[in-house]
Amino acid sequence: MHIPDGMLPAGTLVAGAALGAAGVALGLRRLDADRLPQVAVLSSALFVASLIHVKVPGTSVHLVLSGLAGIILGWSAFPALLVALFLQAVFFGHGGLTALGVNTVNMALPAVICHYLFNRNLTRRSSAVAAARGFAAGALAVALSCLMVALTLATAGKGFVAVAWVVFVAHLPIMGIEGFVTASAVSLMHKVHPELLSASPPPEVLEEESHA
Amino acid sequence: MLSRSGLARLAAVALAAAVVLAAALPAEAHSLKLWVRVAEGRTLKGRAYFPGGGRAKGVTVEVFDPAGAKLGSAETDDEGEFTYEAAQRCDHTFVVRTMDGHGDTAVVRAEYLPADLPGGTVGGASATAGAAGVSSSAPTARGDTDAPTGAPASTEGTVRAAELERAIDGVVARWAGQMMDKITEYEDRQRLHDVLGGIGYIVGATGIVFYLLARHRKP
Repeated sequence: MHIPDGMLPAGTLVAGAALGAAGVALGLRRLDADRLPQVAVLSSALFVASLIHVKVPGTSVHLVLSGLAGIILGWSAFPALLVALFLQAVFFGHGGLTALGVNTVNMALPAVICHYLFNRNLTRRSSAVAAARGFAAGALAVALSCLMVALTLATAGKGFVAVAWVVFVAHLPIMGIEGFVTASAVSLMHKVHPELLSASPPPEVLEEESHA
Repeated sequence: MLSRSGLARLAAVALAAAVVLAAALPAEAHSLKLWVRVAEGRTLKGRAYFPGGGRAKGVTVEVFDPAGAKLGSAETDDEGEFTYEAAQRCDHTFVVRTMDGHGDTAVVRAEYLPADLPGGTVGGASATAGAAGVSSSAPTARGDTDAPTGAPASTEGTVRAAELERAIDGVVARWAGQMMDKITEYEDRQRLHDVLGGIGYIVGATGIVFYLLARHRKP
């Protein structure tokens, strides 16, 4: 799902960089010191996730975890994904550096969409609902990313429908796996640390004893 | 609200899990790779594959000369392997791309191709259009022009030297091919320290951002 260098026309790269920069700026504005550790932990998880491959006939696909990042972080998924994608490109040669903006938008925008769809009043609903929404977020984020990758490649002259179909079908197992992973993570957080799922910035607090 | 020690614990557990996971899985690079080598004479053999993820079957590989003109193409079989007969002595650039954006490039340098191919300048002052005729391929046995210096004067000795050289070529190519497999596999394997390096950068960046936020708060 990472698009390498040299595939896309300059216009697409520039548009992707601009949209990506806007998303990251918005994400950074909504970031504060209390949320920062979550962003860092998720960024690390995103970075490592791309190492987990699933063999699919004809190609090789990997975990993304953008649904999890989206449902927890909202717009801050943009900077988290940017950092993870940059490190993946530099360390693993995964995706191009000129295509960094495009790749960030392709994965972060679905994450933000899933945040708005599934995070509303999440802490007030039951754990079962939380798990269901987590599954939906995990699967939908990947599906939307497949769509956006196909759209992006269409600007490079590849037939949209054919590419969309190939990428989508190849990622079906990923959607299932991510659905489960996100569902269990969200359900666990909902039971033990629901404030992590709260959409609003947590209030500033003094040191207190935890009962984790 | 999650206390600092609770959050630190959560972060530590999550990171440890990530590192253990990355180390435990046979995680290898995800991108489509291409490897092409001179098998014998002007026969080039190549392989398209996903390291750790299997061979790329039925994929079209395109061949370009140094000027960027397309020389031809080949398709990978069920093993992801393909064969291409070089018609010119120039740098051959092989490009493979799948529909979903994976791709790689490999170059076979002209100096590894037989000297009796047309377009003899290394680095491809490209051959004339006339030389593109595939049928005007290199003769099966190398002629006198290719004999090493100090070769025996007699024709039979020259032919034997040429055959010997070809036989050695074949053996070395097979051995080198396997070495190349190993090198490529080694290059592509993700190592634990790459994962730790990436996570280290994230931790460092987080620290810097914390510092900046703190400074901003208390001028």
